[in-house]
Amino acid sequence: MKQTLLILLTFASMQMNAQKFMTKTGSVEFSATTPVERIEGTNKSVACLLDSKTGALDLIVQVKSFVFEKQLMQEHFNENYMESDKFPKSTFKGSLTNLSAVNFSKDGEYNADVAGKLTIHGVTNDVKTTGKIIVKEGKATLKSVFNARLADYKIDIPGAVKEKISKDAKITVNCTLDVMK
Amino acid sequence: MNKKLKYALIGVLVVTVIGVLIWLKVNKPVNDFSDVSPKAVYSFKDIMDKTTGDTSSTNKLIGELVEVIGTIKTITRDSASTTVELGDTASLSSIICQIDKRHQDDFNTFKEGQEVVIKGKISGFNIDTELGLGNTIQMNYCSLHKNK
Repeated sequence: MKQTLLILLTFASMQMNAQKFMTKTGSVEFSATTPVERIEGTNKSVACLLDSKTGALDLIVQVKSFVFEKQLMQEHFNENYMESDKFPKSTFKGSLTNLSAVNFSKDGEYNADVAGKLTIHGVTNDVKTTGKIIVKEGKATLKSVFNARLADYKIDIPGAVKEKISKDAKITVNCTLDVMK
Repeated sequence: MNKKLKYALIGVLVVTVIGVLIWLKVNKPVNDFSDVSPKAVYSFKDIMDKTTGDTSSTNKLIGELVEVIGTIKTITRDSASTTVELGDTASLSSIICQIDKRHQDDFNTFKEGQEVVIKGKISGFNIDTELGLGNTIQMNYCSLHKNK
């Protein structure tokens, strides 16, 4: 009897550890702030899918869903820099490279190593970054901060505003994922 | 008044006015659409049905100010923002509404399962064929429908 219970519990634990987690209301913040000007945009409708069995991680960001405080900043971001009519989505397709270090069935904070392909402005580059995965009450929160060099994604900054816009965009990802039902 | 001084004062005035106009243009906050009439009013089902068509007709909706009548599936609040997901529990397809900061207090008492009419600008679509997340419509600068 005890043995059966143990097998069942082990199986249940394995099932929990092999789930897909998802959200459609993840957050990505973009900052190209310099001492001259604060340039920040926030997108709270980021789709994120994490497969706890394979470590596969996908993020889809609609560029026009970034919200800015200033109208002109929003226009320049979409029309001049990101060309969001031409390149409406930014995506990340990659995986957790240290999947075995994360226990999705046990509450805790785990270091996450992530590698994959980041596509911004129609240009895809290989990226590697680190972050945290916080497992709590059946949810997994993915947090990471990394820099993307604008020139690597063919985002041109005109000379007149070069001093106002940072060459590197700081990208902050914060997605709380629920178990996919 | 000395002619030179007069021209100098006019010059300073013109430069000041131009400077103020540029400052106002550069620092103009994003538009508040809460008092603007929507281009169309959709039920959740009607607008979701539009996302199953071809991409070109779907893309025409981007940038349109619309009102959607739907049920709150999830509501996510943090200190700086409120995001409402409209949909039903039977399907993964949904509408994500980023609430305009100036109107997020209007959503303080709302709960999941309640029906709501939300106005916002359509900012994008995820027509999902790969990840199994369902189709998603995204809306920005959202506010609660006002009875006029």
